[in-house]
Amino acid sequence: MAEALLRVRHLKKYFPIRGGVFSREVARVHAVDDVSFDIRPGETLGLVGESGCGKSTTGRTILRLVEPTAGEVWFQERNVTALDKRALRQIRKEMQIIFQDPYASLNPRMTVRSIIGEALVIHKLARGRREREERVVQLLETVGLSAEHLRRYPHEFSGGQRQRIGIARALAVSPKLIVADEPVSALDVSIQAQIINLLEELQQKFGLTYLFIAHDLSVVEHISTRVAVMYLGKLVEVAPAKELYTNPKHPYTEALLSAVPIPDPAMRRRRILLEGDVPSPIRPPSGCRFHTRCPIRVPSCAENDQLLKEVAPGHWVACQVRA
Amino acid sequence: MAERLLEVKDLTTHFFTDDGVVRAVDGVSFHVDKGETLGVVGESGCGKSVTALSIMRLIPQPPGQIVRGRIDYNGRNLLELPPKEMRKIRGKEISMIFQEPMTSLNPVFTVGEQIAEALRLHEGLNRRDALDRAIEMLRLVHIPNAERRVREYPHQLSGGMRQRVMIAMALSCSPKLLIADEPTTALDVTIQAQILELLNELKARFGMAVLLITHDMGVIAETAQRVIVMYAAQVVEEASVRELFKEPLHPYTQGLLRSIPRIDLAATQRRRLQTIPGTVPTLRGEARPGCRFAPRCEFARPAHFDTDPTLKDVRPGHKVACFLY
Ligand SMILES: Nc1ncnc2c1ncn2[C@@H]1O[C@H](COP(=O)(O)OP(=O)(O)OP(=O)(O)O)[C@@H](O)[C@H]1O
Ligand SMILES: Nc1ncnc2c1ncn2[C@@H]1O[C@H](COP(=O)(O)OP(=O)(O)OP(=O)(O)O)[C@@H](O)[C@H]1O
Ligand SMILES: [Mg+2]
Ligand SMILES: [Mg+2]
Repeated sequence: MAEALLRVRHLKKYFPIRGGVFSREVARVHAVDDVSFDIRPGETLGLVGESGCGKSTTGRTILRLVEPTAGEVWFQERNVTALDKRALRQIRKEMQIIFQDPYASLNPRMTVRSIIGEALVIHKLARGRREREERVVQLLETVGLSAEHLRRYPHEFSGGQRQRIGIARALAVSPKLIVADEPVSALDVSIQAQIINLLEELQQKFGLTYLFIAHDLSVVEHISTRVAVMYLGKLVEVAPAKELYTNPKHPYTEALLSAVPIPDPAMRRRRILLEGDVPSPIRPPSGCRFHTRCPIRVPSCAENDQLLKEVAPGHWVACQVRA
Repeated sequence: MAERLLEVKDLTTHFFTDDGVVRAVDGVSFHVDKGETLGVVGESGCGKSVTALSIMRLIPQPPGQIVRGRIDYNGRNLLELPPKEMRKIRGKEISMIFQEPMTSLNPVFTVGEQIAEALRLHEGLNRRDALDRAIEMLRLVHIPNAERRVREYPHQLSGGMRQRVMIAMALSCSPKLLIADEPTTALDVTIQAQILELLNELKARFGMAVLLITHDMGVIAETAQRVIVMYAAQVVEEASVRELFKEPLHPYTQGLLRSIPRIDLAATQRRRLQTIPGTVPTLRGEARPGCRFAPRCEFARPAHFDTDPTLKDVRPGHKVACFLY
């Protein structure tokens, strides 16, 4: 088995909530709470879970766009969490991110030429104007746009086209790893498919590795090699995509999968309806965080912390009832 | 034979903006029978919400205006009713829930006050009785501790609970038609499943009809009996849900269904998603003749760019607006 490209170990991010006259820390949002996983070169790890469970924070902490509270992130042989500013800039050449909102993530006052060319300048990846221009055009063509778009501004593009620009910008530095944070969630279905296919083609062509974050389980299943399911800051299950979808072990994964509406009226499935809402990450439940909504809980679930256990090769589950 | 509740004919709603006319809804016709759920699907900006708001006569005017068409509800054309009559219909006969509950709940009133207001207005209940009914409604939508929640403000509730409150409000006067505009789009899948289940339960109990707007084909498949597909301000296909998914006729509907990743097929096959090339046309500016989907359609012929296709029956209950049929 190949060496991991990225190793995340016991990653934690607690956001302080301040209050009172002295702006003291009065509470903490447990956004990411002891998360560990590997990503192998060339694979796509899907990260799914409901709103607020800590997916984006995980992605951002890996790139240190958000500073972790604890834990380590290793990119190949380098400890990302220990890098100084300069070394961090270097490593961003190898790890890039694309965002959910193609509208907000592009500077509205910059032309496409400078949005994509900026990274080439910062990382000194092109000698002179001519070479830079050629590279930008090449990148545009890679993502299905063309030289005629060079002088346009973001507002002149549709959502799908803007996402293509975001992808071209990420590709400019020839990264190895791309964190894709809900890259298709803001797009219409027919445009979603275009972008998903593009990401798959680029992966083939450049041997890219993806951390693909999304709340849409169908999209994640489609694109991922392996999938990690997150609930209230913790991973509850990690497995190869096919295995996870055909043989989910964690009761939360089961409920999540059963809740996805299937676009086929002839299919009728048993649906597991969960009680209540996701609890607050400020005071997460003790023990297994899912126990307050879990249909198969036993009394000790409220006490025992659950760790991921391997139940089949590569299939990890954090549930004392099931594993 | 099913009984007609609502019949929309040639509805045309425009927005007259500084940058030109937006033809948001352009000659839309469909009907809703008593007690059925009619799904409305289509991509962002195709005119679903404007259609719903036109039925409710809640189009902001100006810049909006219903320029043509009629909306018959129980034999009366809603577009000709005086405002006072329309107010009686709204909330009592037809009510609506919106995509983002926070924008339609008033932040300075308690949940109970908001539900009670509709009851006092339409049912003439006094303050006490209205509040009791409000608590009853909250129980009906499965909000725990209804006696306590009724005194809370919208910001104290989670997204799923707010949407339940919206449903409680919409149903408080037992409407015959509920218009649900993307009632679950802002919610997580597990909460969406709860809300759709609730809507189905309440529909069975009260026998109301539902006009369910969504862009999610899965939601349509699981909740509607019939469906209309909208593209660029027009209806391009109408069919029973069963038939639409089995035999979609319009190239747009076909493309849409093929471009959705499916977890149920996942286990057996892994395929490249099919895509519809190009993007949705703008609704702003001069009206152009021709099929609106033609620029993205693999079957388009030169003549399709010259005249509009009409929505016509090709089978009982299955209509399509396409030159191929
Ligand atoms: N800068 C911040 N300050 C305080 N709390 C934050 C901050 N960023 C995120 N959070 C909180 O951390 C938790 C995790 O947020 P995160 O954005 O990682 O979730 P997510 O899984 O990406 O959700 P979504 O699906 O809605 O994008 C949430 O409770 C969120 O409110
Ligand atoms: N107040 C307004 N002024 C100008 N144009 C408007 C106004 N409201 C809606 N429109 C336009 O009318 C068209 C139809 O909008 P509508 O809100 O009905 O779309 P929709 O199908 O509901 O989309 P979504 O799925 O994004 O909710 C869009 O092009 C929109 O920009
Ligand atoms: Mg996020
Ligand atoms: Mg809408």
